[in-house]
Amino acid sequence: MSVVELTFRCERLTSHRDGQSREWTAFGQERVMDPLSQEFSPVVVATDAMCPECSNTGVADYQAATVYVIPADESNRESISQIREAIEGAEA
Amino acid sequence: MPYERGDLTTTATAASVSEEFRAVGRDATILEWGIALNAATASIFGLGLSGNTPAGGTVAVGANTARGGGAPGGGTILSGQSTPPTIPSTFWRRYGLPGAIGNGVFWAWNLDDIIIPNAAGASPIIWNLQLNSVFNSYIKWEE
Repeated sequence: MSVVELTFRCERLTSHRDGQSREWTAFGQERVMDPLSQEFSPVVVATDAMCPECSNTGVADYQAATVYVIPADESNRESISQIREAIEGAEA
Repeated sequence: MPYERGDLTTTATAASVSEEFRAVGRDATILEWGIALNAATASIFGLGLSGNTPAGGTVAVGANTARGGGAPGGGTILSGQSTPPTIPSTFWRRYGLPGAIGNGVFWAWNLDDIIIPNAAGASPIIWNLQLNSVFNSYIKWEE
């Protein structure tokens, strides 16, 4: 279950001070099997996928598979912990 | 397990998908779907199953309101699908709202009235039938 770097984009232009789109990068861990493509899909924690200006969940520029953004809440505590560990391991 | 999710849609253009619901990992049954206008634009839209099998995109997974654990559940996709949904061949429901912020509608179904297979086919969508407002929306479902 490898870690992939994703570029997110937010196109909610009316919510941005300068009316321009925003881009940022975040890491996801490939940990869900896409039922259509049968490829492993990256899972990203919601706080990482959130536009830094308007808090909209961005759209990942990732064509290989679907990207899943999971809520950063208690019900996903174990998944989030594993994702964070994998990201730290990949960065080390 | 019950899930819910609220979004502000991004696509308002005519003849385009406003919001897609996709099941992830297991089948889902939709219980409620509601929208309200976020701009003073009169809006006409329909709800139905996409004419194709959409793929790709960023699925914003719903919150498990029972606070249970487990794998990611289903969620919404607002834009960015590699294969975007196409117009439903038959709408389940159509609606027109006068152009004032906050005008809205919600739909409710019984458990298992609408079963969404695990991403193996069409997705339920809201389709913009004209240039619309963006919508504040929520969906409640069971998996």
